[in-house]
Amino acid sequence: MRFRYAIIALALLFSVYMLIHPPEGDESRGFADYKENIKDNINLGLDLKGGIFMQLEVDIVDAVNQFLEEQAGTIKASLENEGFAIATSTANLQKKMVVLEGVTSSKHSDIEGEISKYYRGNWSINQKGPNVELKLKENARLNVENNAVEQTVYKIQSRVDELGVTEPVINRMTGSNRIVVELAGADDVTRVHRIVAEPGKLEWRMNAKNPATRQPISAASTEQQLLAPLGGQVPPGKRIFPYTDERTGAKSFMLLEGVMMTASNVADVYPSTDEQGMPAVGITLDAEGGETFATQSAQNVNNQLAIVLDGEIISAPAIRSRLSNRFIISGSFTQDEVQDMVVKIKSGSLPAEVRILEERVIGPTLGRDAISSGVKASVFGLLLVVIFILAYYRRAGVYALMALILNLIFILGMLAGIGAVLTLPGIAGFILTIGMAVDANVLVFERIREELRAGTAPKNAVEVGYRTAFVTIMDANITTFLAAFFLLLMGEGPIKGFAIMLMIGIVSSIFTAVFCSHTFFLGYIKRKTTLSKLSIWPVWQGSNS
Amino acid sequence: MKHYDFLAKRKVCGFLSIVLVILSIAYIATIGIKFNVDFEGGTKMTVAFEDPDLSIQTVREAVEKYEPKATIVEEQAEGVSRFSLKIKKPDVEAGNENEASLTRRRNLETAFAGITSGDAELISKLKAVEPGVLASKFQTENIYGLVDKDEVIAQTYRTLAGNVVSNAATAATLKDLAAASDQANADKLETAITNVIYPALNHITTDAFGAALAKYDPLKRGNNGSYKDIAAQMDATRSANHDFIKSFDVLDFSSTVAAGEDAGVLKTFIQDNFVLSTYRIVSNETFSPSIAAELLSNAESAIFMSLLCILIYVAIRFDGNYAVASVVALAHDVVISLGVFAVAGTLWGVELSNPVVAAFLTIVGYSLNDTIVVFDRIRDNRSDMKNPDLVKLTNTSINQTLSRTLVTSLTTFFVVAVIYWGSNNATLEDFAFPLLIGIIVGTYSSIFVASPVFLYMTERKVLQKLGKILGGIYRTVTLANKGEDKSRSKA
Repeated sequence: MRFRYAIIALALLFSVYMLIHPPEGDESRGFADYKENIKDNINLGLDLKGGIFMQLEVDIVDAVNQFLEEQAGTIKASLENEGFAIATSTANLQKKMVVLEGVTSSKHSDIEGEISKYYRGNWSINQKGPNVELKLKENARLNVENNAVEQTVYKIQSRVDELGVTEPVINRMTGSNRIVVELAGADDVTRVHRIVAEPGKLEWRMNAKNPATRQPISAASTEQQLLAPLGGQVPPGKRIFPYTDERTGAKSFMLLEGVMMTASNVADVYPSTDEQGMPAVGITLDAEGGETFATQSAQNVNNQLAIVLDGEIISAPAIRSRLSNRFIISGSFTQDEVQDMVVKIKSGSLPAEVRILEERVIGPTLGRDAISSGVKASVFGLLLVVIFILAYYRRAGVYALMALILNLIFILGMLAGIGAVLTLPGIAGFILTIGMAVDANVLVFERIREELRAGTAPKNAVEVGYRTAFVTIMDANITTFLAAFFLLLMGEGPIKGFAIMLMIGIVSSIFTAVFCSHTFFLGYIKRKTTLSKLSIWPVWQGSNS
Repeated sequence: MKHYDFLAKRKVCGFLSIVLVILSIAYIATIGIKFNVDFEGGTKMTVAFEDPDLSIQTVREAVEKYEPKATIVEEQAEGVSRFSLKIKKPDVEAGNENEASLTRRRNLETAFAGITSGDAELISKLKAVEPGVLASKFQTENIYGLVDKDEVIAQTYRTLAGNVVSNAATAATLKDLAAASDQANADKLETAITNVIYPALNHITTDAFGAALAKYDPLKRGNNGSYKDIAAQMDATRSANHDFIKSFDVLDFSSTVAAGEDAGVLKTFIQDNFVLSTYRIVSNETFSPSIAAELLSNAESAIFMSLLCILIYVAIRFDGNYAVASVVALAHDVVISLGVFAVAGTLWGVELSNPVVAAFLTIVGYSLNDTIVVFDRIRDNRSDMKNPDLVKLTNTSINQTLSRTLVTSLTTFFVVAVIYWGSNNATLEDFAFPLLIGIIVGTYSSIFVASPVFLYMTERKVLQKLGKILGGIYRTVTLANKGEDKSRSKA
């Protein structure tokens, strides 16, 4: 018996602790602020908290098409650099290939073989007379699609800060081209639209030079230090940007010139290698960009360049020599770092169209109303159930009730403990559980009544009642659990909260109804040395049936 | 304890059930179930107005100018008037959905703003503002998302701010003002002014309000200062006034600000940088047609898969006869509930949505709960008795569990009824309505459908016969194949 009480007490303690403990990292609160703590410990869904939920789809067909169009241009340009003459280069979107027409070369005799040298990684190459077809390989296509989704995720992640949202959720749905965006507390739909559907702002700026000495101004750890050689003033046309070195985490400030190029000047960004075969980021600029960059790089040898995405410097490579429209950024990068940088630089242009499949904007007041009406309905529903159970089962009803109240505390405790999300349908599930939770006790009590009618002694009747009803309770609840499980599969959003609530409710109801109320009953039987009658009959039927 | 002969009436009940199921299917097939926007595609919006006496006619007229397809229903609300709008399957060009949904929202906002005070509040603010102040706000927020040399950007916004302030003197609506100030970007400018430059206190979420204050830091709390306390105070004031702040005068931060901070400065800042607005969009949901179709098929397969799994579970725990009987009872419940739901749709406009499907799956779970309890007792009693009269035994089992069935149904019905009649929340009501139907139908079916079907299956040995037939087919087919093989091998 002691053991049983100890388990109940432990479960209760755990649930209460989970509910009222002060949130981590907030030193100002103690257990006395339990009201505030409960609010923070129960994770409210967007539909209760207010905010913006979006389900996005990245158009991967469009991503591949854009990639092909882009490649048609860059492949031609690169091959011409290598001594080929090419009449036209077109993308065949249907067949996922780039078709080069009228390919000749005075330098190379084996045209197909020579082109293969450069492109066999991603393309299968096939020469048909003067034409060469480069067909995008299956895994290369998957790569392009995958990158498009990753870039979109990255772009949203890096720009969502401007909304001032505390805990933004931007998740790619595993293995798909869908992205779920949850921005609690956000209210500006227009801006969120822009963030998800417009490209990032990519700027190429040159590190500023001191006008007096014509020497580059080196980065400094504070703004004051940075501006010291300039007399503490930001010169006109220049701007200060914070720079965080990704590897060391060191923070500094750089003074940059005005915008030299934007994303529209970048024709292609791809993982490449440097002379030593180390991973590097390859960049191809368009004609205009190439021209600008050639002059600028010539004037800035040994100066630094900064690539700024949405106001943040993502890379600041040094310029070693005059550069043309094709160059690489190297710096003992790992393969992952290169991939990461490619994604970042590319997010300045839209890799593919993003469609908003589903959009929910929940205002600030809806949730509060729903919670207060949910609490009201819970209390009122509970009251009805209480009155009925007490009248119908009397003392046994009291035990059922204690079990029910424990049940509600356990459910909320588990909800807080596993960090599940409470949604509006979840509130409905909670109220529903109040009604359903007594079911297991009802099953038991009806069994006990039957045993008593058959003349079994009260003590045995209780034992038999709990034992035989157990199988039924399990069977009935497992099937309900199955139904709840399929609700989980219905997709993202509030319904998930309902399903989880139902599942938690089932587990907790079984425990409280089978174990806890049994314990209370046992305690009562133990206290009474002689027990000839059991108070389990409806009030309108007298003390016996 | 009374003993009822439930099975005596099983033919009548069976007939009744079959008729109801056929009627339901016929009704659904011909007239159909009404779908909500999440299963059909479109926009659903709930909007509240400060004026509690606003008539639905006024709202309808204002909305029809922009969205003739919208259907509007008035909702119950205390101290304010609240309406829900639905625009199903809007005419949108493919590929233009994102922009269309924004435009729709913007149009509706314009319509709502026009209903009461119009844009007067906003325009009077723009008239009074210093152009330089406005320009720097434009630039800080970079409302057009410009990418250019900094001085070029600054110049663009200076010109724009000058235009806006000078046009504010004559413009009647924000739309006109935006068009007059920047023809090419009128739409962008219009939304930027309402959402970014002068957000409405009655629309803004608490978090967004706190973030906006933190950005401009009127109390000089420094980089790490949070304005959560101020935001919470604003929200408390708002909710104490039926969620509408009717005048800046009701805002009182004197007890919220820390020592040494000036509540007056804060209030002036809020007054200068926010408007009040006489309406609020409570919620707004948009579903593209493709996701709607997918949600619907997900819902269908969830119901189907759960039925299948339950069939398998019951077949393992009990046997095939029980399994078939319980699934028949379940299908019966779902079909009739859907039928009643469809009729309610015709009568009162109730629509099938995601929460409703969740409710139906719950019906599946709980109706089964009842059935399993009865079956469990039948199984128990069968193993106790040597020579059972199955009909009598089944009837006894139903009687033994009757009290429990009724008590559980009753308590569940209580709380669901409380949700339906007492919650005053559209989503919760949507959810409770099918549950109410389901509990009634489910209780009936566990007594009058599941057990009779079980009896029929067991007495007539339906499964054995079916098994024989299938076995026969199997044997014939394999024999025929073998024959073929033989004839082939001979040849």
